[in-house]
Amino acid sequence: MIRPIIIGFMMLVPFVGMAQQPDLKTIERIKEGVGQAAQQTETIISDFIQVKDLSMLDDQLHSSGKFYFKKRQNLRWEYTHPFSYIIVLQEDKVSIRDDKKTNTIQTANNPVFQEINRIIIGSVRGTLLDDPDFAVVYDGNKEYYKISLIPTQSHLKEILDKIILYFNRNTFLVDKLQMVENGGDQTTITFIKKRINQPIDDELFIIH
Amino acid sequence: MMSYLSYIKTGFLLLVGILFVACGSIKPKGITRTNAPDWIATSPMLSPLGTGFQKALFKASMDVKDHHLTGLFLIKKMKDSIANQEVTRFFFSNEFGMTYFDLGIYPDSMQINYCFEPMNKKGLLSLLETSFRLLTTESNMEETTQWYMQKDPPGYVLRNRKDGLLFWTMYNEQPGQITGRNGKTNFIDKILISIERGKDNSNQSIHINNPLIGLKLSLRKLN
Repeated sequence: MIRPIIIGFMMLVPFVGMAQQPDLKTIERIKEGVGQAAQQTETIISDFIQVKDLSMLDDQLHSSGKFYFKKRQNLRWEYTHPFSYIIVLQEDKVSIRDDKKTNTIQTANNPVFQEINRIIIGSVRGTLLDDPDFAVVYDGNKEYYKISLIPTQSHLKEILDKIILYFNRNTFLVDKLQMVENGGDQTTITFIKKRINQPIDDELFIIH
Repeated sequence: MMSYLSYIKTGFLLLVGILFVACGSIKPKGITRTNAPDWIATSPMLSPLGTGFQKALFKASMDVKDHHLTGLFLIKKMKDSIANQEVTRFFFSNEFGMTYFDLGIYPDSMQINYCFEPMNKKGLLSLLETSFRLLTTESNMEETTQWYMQKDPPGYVLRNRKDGLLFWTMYNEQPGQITGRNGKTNFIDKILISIERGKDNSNQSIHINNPLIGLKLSLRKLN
C-alpha cells in the first residue's frame, strides 16, 4: 500500500520543483500593472537592439533601429542598421519600405502578417497575456517580471517554441522580448532609451 | 465539343511553353571556342563564393510564385566535426529574426537543418540545393579544351560537368573573376546566377533565377 504512495509522491516532485509560478495575487498584480501601464501609455519612442542567436551556426546577427508606438496609429518599427527597413503596423494593414520600395498589405489577406501584428502589438499592449492562443507562465527576478507565452495552436507551435516578455517591475512596460524558435535559435529585442508619452507626429505612420 | 478541343489545344500549347522554358539552354549566347586564358596559371577563382571564403551577410529578397520574402541571409563555411567534412551553411530569416531556412551544402548532399513549414516543399528545396551547389562547386580548370570566348559582355566561359551538375562559369577578361554561372542537374532545375563584384573582389550582390517557377533570390552584401 505504501509503495504506490511513495511512487506517486516521487512523480510529483519534479512538478513541485518546476512550479516557479508566483501566487495568484502576484499574477493578478502583474496583469493589473501591465493593463494600467498600457492604458496610461499614449506613445512610446525607443531605440532597440536585436540579436539573433544562431545556435547551430555558432553565430549572431545584430541589427538595431527605432521603435514608435502611438495608441491610435499603432506602430512603426524602423531598422537603421545594418540595413534600412521600415514596417508600419496598423489594425487592418501593414506598410513596408524595404530600401526604396514601399508595399502595403491588407492583413486580412495575409495570415503571417496577422500573426506578426497580433504578437508585436499584443506584446506592447500586454493583451497577449489574455490571448487564448498562448499558455502563460509567470516568473521573475528583482529586475523583471518574466512572462513566457507558449503557443497552444498548432499553426503557431510550428513556428515558435515560446515568446518571453520581460516587463520592467517599476513601469510594467516591456524592456526585452525574446522569441524562441523550435530549432533552438532565439531572437532578443532589447528596448533602450525609452521615452513615454512624448508627442509623435501622425505622419510618421504614413510611408510612401 | 469545340470547347473541349480548345481546352486540349490550350493545354498542349501551355505544356510546350513550359517545356520550352524548362529545356532552354544554360549555354551562354555568342560564345566561341578559345584557348584557356593566361591567368589560369596564377590563382584563378574556382567558385563564385571565392577561394578563402569564410562567411558573408546579405540583405535578401526572394520571390517564389506570388510570395515575396525579405530578410537577412548568412552564408558561412564550417567544419562539420561529426561528418569530418566541410559544409557551407545557407541561412535565411526575416528582419524580425524568424527563420525561413537553414540548409547545409556538403560536397555530395544537402542537409535541411530547419525549414519553415510552408517552404518545406521538395521541388523548391531541390532548386535551392542546385542554386547553392552552383555557388560552392569549384570549377575544374584542367579541362582546358572547354574554354570559350564571350563577346558581350567580354570575357571567358568555362564548361564543366561535375557530380551530376552541368555548369557554365562566366569570367571577366581580367583578372579572371567569376561574374556568373549557369547550371542544372536535370531539365527542370535550370539556374542562372549573376554576380556583381566589389573592388576587393568580394560578392557585392548575387542574383539567382530559375525561370520555370519564377524563383528569384537576390542577395546584397551588408558591411
